[in-house]
Amino acid sequence: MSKGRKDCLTGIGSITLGLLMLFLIIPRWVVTSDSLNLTSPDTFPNFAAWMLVVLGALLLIKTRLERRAVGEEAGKKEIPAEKEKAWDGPGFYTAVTFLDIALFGFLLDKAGYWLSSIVCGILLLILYRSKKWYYYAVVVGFTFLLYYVFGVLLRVKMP
Amino acid sequence: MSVLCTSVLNLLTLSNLAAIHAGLFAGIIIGALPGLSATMGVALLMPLTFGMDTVTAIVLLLGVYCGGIYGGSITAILIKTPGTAASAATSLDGYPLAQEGKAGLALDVALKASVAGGIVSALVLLLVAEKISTFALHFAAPEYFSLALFGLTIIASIGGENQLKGMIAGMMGLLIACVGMDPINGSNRFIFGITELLGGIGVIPAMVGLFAVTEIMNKAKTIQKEKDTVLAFSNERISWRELLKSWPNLLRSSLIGTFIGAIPGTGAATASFLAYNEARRTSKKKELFGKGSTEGVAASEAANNGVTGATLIPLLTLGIPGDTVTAILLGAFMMKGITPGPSLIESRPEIVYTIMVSMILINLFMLVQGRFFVRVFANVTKIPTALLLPLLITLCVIGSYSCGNSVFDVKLAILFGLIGYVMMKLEIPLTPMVIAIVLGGIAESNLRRGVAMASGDYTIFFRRPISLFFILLAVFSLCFPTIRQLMQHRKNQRKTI
Repeated sequence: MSKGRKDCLTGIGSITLGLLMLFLIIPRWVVTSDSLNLTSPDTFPNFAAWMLVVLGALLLIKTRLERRAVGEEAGKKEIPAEKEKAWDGPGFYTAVTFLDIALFGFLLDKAGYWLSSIVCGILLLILYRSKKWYYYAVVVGFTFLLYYVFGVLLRVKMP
Repeated sequence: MSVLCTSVLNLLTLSNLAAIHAGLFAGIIIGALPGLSATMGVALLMPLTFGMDTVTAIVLLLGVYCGGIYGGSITAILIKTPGTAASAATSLDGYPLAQEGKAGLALDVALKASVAGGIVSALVLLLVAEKISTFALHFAAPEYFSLALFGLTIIASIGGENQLKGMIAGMMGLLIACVGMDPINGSNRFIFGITELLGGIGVIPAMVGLFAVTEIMNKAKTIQKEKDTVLAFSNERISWRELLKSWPNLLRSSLIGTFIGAIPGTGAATASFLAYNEARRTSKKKELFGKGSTEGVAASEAANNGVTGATLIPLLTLGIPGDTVTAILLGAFMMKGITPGPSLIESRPEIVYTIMVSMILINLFMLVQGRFFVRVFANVTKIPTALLLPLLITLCVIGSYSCGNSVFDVKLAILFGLIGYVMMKLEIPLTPMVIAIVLGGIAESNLRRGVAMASGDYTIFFRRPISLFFILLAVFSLCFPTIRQLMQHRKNQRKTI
């Protein structure tokens, strides 16, 4: 994905988020009171939301001007020095890694520390197609080590 | 003087010395491992300090900080993969030296330069910090707000080429800082019916997610490439006498790092590139830069470790974190019941001086540990990514959990990891968001207190001289990157003509 497209996406995302905050989220989820305070709880959030809208718009304008400066017709011609790449997406391994982390978070309070950490660690190695047996041993051993450090030494109540 | 002596004696206990060694050891390993950083190391190891004595906890984390900054140079030199962003400039000349079979030389230069930079920074902290703190006693809510505003406007320069994106990230961070109970009214903001959000979003889960989880997901792309190239290295060393022949470079780079570190929001990466550029500009052997110059390695490492002591100046004297690591250290201080700020040196001078002296000791110990473990680190970096990532995931999850004994914090870290990954893909810098999460609450609460002090008169921020000074600095820092770009653009245009 080209820099220009990333900037456009960022600008549009920023404006969208800012407008959502201003007209939907802040009015509903920020509790204001009729007290005699001189500043309201929604002052700062409103400021940040307006800034998101303004900065997003500035980013879009800047991106547009940059494209014009290198002589590119808006959105149609490729910049010679920066070819449009296919979306450099997450890929299989990134996706499974994130899903594994999410699974870990989900299982942690349902199944406890031991089961969730061993299952998720070994599952990830399997998904990475690791064939070396000692990888699995190191992962299990690390689970024990962390339990000793946090659960025993630091007396953290493990889930 | 008596307080200084007491502080030195406080520091020289077995537990503190052991903590320094342990922190350095952990920090150097964490910093050396690609994908981990000093910031992540301090964030992950902070839960370990919960049950420790205050001084022991702080010196452990400072050891991790200093060790982590130095540790990044090891992989930067050996396999051209900086362990931390601060060592990116080191790889420019460190790796070519390693290619020539002089990896031992490059590692030794990096170690000694790091120690030199760290000691210069620690001495400045010791000598100048109190003067800054005397001045800081004049601070009230308006000054705190304008100082926080100045820290927030540094976000504009942290974005680098992505200035606007950096500011967008900063505004998102401000919104995140608003989650929870309102600091003045106590009313609910953005809790979405989730009671766990009443206390706000924890800084640690946010940082673990934004830095560690994001990097884990990014590293997962390289799973197939398990065999990382590690070059053989010689035992060649550089003597202190040889290194000090280029003392102007060493001193200048250390002072650049110290100056940059004392300014909130800049960081070690900025310092190391600035120092590298200055070293190249003033060197008599410019042609060697980029091809294996020990001056380049020394400049980068002296600067990035020169930041470590200086970032404590705004933290200890003003309560404003100098970078993301000190933002985490601020959290650590508060957990121990210490509120860094202008009155800390008056109320707890023994703590302040102990920390300052510890920075000198940490750097001296780093010299010993670095020399001893450099060969071991070379083997550690051979851990394949496929094995490293599951270990890191477990560490991140348990680290996030242990902050508040809450699985909700783990879920927050995972969510922030996803947000951070999307931001990374869109080339939106993450550090501005973190700075805003930390400083946003300080800015808002002091703005509202300042307005209340003046019964609704906003000009209070301009009538008080110190507050006005920081507001002008904030305006300057906001405009300076744009002005600099315009000047550079005109200079380039003149050159082409």
